[in-house]
Amino acid sequence: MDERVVISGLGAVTPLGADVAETWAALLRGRPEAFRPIRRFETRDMTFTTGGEISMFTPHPEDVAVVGAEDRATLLMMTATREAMVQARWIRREGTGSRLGVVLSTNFGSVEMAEAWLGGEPSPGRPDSRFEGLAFQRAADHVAHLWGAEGPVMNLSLSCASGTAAIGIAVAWIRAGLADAVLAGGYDALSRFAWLGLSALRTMSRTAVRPFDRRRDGTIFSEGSGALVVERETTARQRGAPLLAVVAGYGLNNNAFHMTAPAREGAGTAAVMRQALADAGLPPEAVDHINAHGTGTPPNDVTETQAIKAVFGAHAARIPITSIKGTVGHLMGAAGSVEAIASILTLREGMIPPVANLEEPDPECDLDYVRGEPRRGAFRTVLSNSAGIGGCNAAVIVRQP
Amino acid sequence: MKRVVVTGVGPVSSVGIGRQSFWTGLQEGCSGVTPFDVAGPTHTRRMAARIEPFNVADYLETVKTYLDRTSQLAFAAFSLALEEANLSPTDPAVKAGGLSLGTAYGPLATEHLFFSDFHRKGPRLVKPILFPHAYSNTPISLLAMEYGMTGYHLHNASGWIASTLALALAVQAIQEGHATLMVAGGFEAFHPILFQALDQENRLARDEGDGEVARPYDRRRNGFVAGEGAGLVVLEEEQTARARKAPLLARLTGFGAAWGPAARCTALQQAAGAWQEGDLIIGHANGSREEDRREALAICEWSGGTAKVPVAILGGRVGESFGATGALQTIAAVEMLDRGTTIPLTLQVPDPECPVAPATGKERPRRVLVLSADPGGAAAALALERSEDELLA
Repeated sequence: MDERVVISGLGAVTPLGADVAETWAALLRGRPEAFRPIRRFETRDMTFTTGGEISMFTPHPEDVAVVGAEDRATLLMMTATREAMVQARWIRREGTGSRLGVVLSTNFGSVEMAEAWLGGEPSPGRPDSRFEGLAFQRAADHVAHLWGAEGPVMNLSLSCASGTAAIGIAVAWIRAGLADAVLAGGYDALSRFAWLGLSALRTMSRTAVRPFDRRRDGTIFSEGSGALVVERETTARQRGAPLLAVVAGYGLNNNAFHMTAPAREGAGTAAVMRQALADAGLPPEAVDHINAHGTGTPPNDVTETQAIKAVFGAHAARIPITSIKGTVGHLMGAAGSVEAIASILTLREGMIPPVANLEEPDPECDLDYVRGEPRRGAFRTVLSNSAGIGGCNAAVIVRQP
Repeated sequence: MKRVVVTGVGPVSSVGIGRQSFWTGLQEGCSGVTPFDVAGPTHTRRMAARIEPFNVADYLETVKTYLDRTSQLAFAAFSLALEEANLSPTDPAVKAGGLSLGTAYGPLATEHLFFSDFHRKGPRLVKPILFPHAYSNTPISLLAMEYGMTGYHLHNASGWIASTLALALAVQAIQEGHATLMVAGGFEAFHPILFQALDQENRLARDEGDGEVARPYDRRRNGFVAGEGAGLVVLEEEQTARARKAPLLARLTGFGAAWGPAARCTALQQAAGAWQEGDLIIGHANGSREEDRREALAICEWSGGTAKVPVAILGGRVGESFGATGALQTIAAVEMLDRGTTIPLTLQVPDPECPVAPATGKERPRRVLVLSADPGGAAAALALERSEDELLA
C-alpha cells in the first residue's frame, strides 16, 4: 500500500494529568511532578515506596459498569481511547462492518485483579472470575467492544518496548490491507505484583529519575496509558479528522545479549533505529529530534548515547534529544505510546520538553540533551526509541503531515 | 508481492513431539489425555492433555539454571523446526532471522512461584531471579539470546488466537522486508490454576461414562479438554529458501484477522478470498457448546451457505492448547499439503446446529485454511497451499 499512514487522534492518562493537554503542559514544565509515595497498596517492607501513581483517576462510568472497578489497567486504557477517538472524530456505528483494528500492548495487563490467584488463594469454593486478569487480550476486547472494531484485535507484550511496537504493528495491519484505522495503545497499572518484581530488578531510584545526568541511579516506574489513532490518510480526510503526523516507519528487534542489561555499545538500539530509518526510506540526516528511551539507569543512558552516535555519525551532535522519564517516570507498557504522543506534539507545537533533573551532564552522555527550558524550533522528523526487559527494542519515526 | 514458504515445522503436543510422531498421533487419534484432579474445595476430576514424558534437555544447546515450562516447550519446538528446515543454530540466516511468538496466559508457573513467596513470606523474601522469567515475552527473549537472533522480534499475548496472529505478522514482516526468515508460532504450558479457573467457568469437558471426553461439533459436547503445547514454523521468503535448497513444505499465501460476530467469516474471506474446490479447513472446534456452533456456521457462511468445505480438527485429540493451538493447526495443515492426505473427522452424533462436512481422510487438498477464534471475540485465519507444483515446474 503506497498510501500514507497518519495519526489522527491522541489520548493519555498519566501521573501528570488526566489527558494529553495536562500531560503535555507538565512535560514542558520539565519538573518531576509524577512521583509520590505509593498509596494504592501497602509498601511496608518494600525496598522502594515512591512511584508514578495516578492520584486522581475518574474512569467513565459506562466503562466501570462494563469492566468492573477493580480492573484499573483496562480502565486506564479505555479512558485514553475515549480521548483519542473524540479527537479523531470517530463515530461508533453499529453493524457497519467497521475496518477498525485494535493493537494494545502491556507488560502486566490486568494482573492486579488476579493477584488472589497468583498468591494461591482464590475465593474459596465459589467461582472467581478474576483469573481473567491474566489473559492480556482482555483490555483489547473491551476496547474493541467500546468502539465497534471489526478489524484485527490483539495485544502485544514486549516489556517496555511495548507501546512503540503497538504503533508499528498498527501500521503493519494497515499495510496488509486488513484495517483502515487501528487504535494503537499501551497501558500498565501499578500493582503489588509489578512493583515487587520491578523492585527486585534493582533498576529503580529511591529519589529521582535523572536521565543523562552523572548522578543518575535508576528509573522510577509509573502507571498510565496512551492511545493513538493510526489510519489511512484517506479515511482520516473523509471524516475531517486532524492529520497530526505521518507514521513513516518502524523497527522491532532484540539484543540477543542479556535479560536485563543493554547490549554493548547499544548495538541493538542502533540496529533498531537503522531498521526504522530503512522502513521509512529516510537517511539518518532527515531526523531532527529524538525522543530517547532515557530511563535514567546508569547503563541505558550511556549505551543509548553510543547507539545514537553510531547511527547518526556527525549529525548526532546536531539532533536535540529529550527523555520525558525524568518528568513522568517509566510508564512501562504505556511508555512508548506516551513518548510517541510527546514526539507528535513536538512536531505540532515546535517545542521539545526538557529532560527533568538533568543538571550535571554525564561526560559520556555528550549529545544535545535538552535542559532547562523547552527547545523551540521547526521539527519535521522525530524518532522515538524504546527498549525493555528481555532485550527488546522498538523505534518509530513520525513526520510532519 | 514476495512469496512466503514454510520450510520447517516443530510441533510439541500431547499426541506427539516432532513432525513424524505428531502426524502419526493425529492420524491414529491417539490421545494424550489423562485425568487431573482440580485444586480447590470441589475436588473434581477432569481430563487434561499434558505432554508427558518431556525432557527439555533433549532440545537445549546449553544447560539452563531455570526455565519456565512455557520456555521449555518453546525451546523444544524451536529446535525441532530448525532441524526440519535443514538449518544449523549457527547459520547466519538464523542469527539474522526474526521471531514472532504468541501465548494466551504466558509463564503462569513462574508468576505463581514469584508471587506466592510474597503472599506467604512477605516482600523481603521474594526471589528476584524469578521476575525476569515471569514476563509474557520471557520465552521469546530467551530464544533470541540462545540463538543470537538479533532480527525482527515480536511477541503477542492475544488469547487463543495468539499463535495464528504471530504467524500472520511473521508473513507480513517478510512482505515488508523486515526479515527474510522468521521463526513463528506459539506456546502454552499446563498449569493447575489455569485449569482450576477454566473448571470454575464450566468450560472443561465432563466424562459422561463412555470414556469419550471432548466431542467437537457433536450434539453431546459439553466442553473442551485443556492441554498444552508449542508449535513453531520456519517461514522464508521463497527465493532465499530456494537458493539454499530448503525443504519447501508449503506456501503461506494469506491471512486474516477480525473481531465481533462476523469475525471468523471475515478472517477466512481475507485469508483466502472465496471458497474454491480443493479447499479444506482445519477448525478450532474443541467441544465448546457455543464456540463450535459459531465456527460451523461461519464456515458454512463463507462457503456460500451450505456445508461443503471438508473440515478437519485437532480438538479432542490434542486438547485445547490456547496460545499454541493455531500453530499446531498450521503444522497439521503443512503435513496435509506435503503428504497429500488429511485426518478424518468422525462425528458420532451430528448436531444440526453445527452444519459441517467432516473430512473423510481421503481428500487431497490444494489449499488448507486454518481458523482460530478466542471466546472474547477475536478470530484469525491463515491460508496454506501446496508448493510441489512449483517444484515440478
